[in-house]
Amino acid sequence: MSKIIRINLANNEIREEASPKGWEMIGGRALISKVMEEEVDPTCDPLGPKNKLIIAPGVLAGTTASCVNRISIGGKSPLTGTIKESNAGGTTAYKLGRLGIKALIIEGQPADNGLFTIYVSEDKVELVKTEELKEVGVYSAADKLRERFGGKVGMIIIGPAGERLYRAAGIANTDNEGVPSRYSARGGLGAVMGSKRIKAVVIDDSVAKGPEIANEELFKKTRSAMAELIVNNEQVANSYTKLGTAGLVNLTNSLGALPTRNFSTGSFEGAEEINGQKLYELITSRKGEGRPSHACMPGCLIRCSNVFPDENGKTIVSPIEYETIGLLGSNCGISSLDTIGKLNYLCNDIGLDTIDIGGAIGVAMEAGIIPFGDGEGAVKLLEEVQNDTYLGKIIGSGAAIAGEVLGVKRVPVAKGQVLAAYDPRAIKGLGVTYATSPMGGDHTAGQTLRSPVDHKKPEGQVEASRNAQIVNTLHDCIGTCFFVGGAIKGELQLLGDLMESMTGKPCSVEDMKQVAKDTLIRERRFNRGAGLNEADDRLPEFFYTEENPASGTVFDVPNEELKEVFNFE
Amino acid sequence: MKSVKLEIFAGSESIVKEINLDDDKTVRDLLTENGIDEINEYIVIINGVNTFDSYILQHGDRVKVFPAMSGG
Ligand code: SF4
Repeated sequence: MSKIIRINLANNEIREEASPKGWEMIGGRALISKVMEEEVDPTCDPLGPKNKLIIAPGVLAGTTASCVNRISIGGKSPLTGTIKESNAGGTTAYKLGRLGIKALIIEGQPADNGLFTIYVSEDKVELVKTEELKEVGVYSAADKLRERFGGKVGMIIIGPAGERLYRAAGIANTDNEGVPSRYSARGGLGAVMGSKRIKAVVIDDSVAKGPEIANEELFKKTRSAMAELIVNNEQVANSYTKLGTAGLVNLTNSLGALPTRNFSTGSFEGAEEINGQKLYELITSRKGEGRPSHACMPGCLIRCSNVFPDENGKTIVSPIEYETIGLLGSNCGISSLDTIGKLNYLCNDIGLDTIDIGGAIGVAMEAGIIPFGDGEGAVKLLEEVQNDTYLGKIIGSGAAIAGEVLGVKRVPVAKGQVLAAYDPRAIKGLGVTYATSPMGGDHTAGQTLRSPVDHKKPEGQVEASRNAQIVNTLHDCIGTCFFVGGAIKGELQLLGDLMESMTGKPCSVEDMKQVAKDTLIRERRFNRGAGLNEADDRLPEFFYTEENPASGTVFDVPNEELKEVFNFE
Repeated sequence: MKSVKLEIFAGSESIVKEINLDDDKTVRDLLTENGIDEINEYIVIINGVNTFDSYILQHGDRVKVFPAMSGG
């Protein structure tokens, strides 16, 4: 991949540059951290003209190896005030990779309140006026854009939430079927895109040349070796493929780590109604459009995604993921997959992060706006968001702001961002990640669920989180789906071989880890420049003082030890 | 004699068994006897605590075995 394309909204100028020398191994999250450090003042207003929105596929994008086409979208977050990279599946990275595009950098801000779409193809990049899409939901915006630009394009879209600068606004990417539901959800980047008045990026790879692969033979050999490991991996077939990530509900519920009623406990009496088995049973018995396994991107052999149908077999939403079930389900005391599916669809259509909104609804329930377990009430709250009422604006701002406005003391956020669906008192390594990651409360920043530590004890968690943060960052930089690591039984050198086949240069696991470490160091530097310090690397106080009754633990990894997470700095 | 409750979650089914043990057995022994060799590919939770292969089973333990997964 060779090109970087800059789109400046201040003067509508579009510039193409060659990728800088020495950036062969730099893509995705690594690229975002470099551009942010070199070009963006860390003290800037995240919604002002000095911030940039960077869309960067990983280094392997555009190829058809399994699980290598994740997209990274980044900038300074209006939610956390930190640097942010938000990662998703779908086809947009694949298509950008096929066009030889290493990054789209969206800069500046238009003087008026117009609304634009960026169209990218092999022979042109242009800014197109799309005023008619103002306040249009994500799903119908995708349909309208397809009518205009053709059925096969990939799309990156924001909903009304992003246009209105809601702090919990995400960015949707289309999947293999063109459904805009693979979300770069976290950190309010939808609002950054909205602040630049970009409704969508349309990627047309119909006449693309495809990515440059330096060593085709090595690529093909490695792709087959990976495929062999994945299709013969029984655990993958039984877990990710069959149940999707929803298979985690039983596991976390057994550990006392499933967020329940605004993180007041870690096991939910309704877990059996929302677990992977139940989801599988509903999908397979309702038939119609439902599918228990589905690939979100070309070439994925794990297929952890799904299509969830209603009683008549019509799609409610695709996919339903574990984190959404944990935050919009158990965290709100809601034990119906149909209701969770409906809430998920509404979030997707308005353009919101399901994790932050699940957190915000949980906080609103704790404030007594509606009771825990009130699914219909939750749907009404999202309709308030859709209608942009004052209460809707509060929920759409995410849990940190909702908690402050509604006078709630227990607000489950780190650096302003809602924690994912693992209680940090029951899986303490994830607590360390939430507290210290430059991204704020985010499980994909350093997942320790499989680490060889007793999750309830404080010992060993800092090391577990450090290792996980490095490995997760590695995947975010080369553009691989994190699940592929387990599926190829930890043989990360295969990913190194894929890297070598692309760049022509040998690449060890250590080399990839170095890229990841350098990225983390740059991100932390940016955050320090933005005014964050060690005091920001903490969880909310109630996790230290209030016992999670299901796990019988509080979060007790000492602050002194938290300082050691980035001992490679 | 000790007895433990074993629950294996595999795909859409779960297998539940009461098992009697006549002598000291580890988690690894229990899993291999029940057809699971690649123990590192599983997460074992005993009485709510994630546990490792050398743990010696005690009377009344509730053993849950999950394919190792990691979020989404
Ligand atoms: S494993 Fe799941 S998330 Fe990863 S690429 Fe495949 S379908 Fe997408």
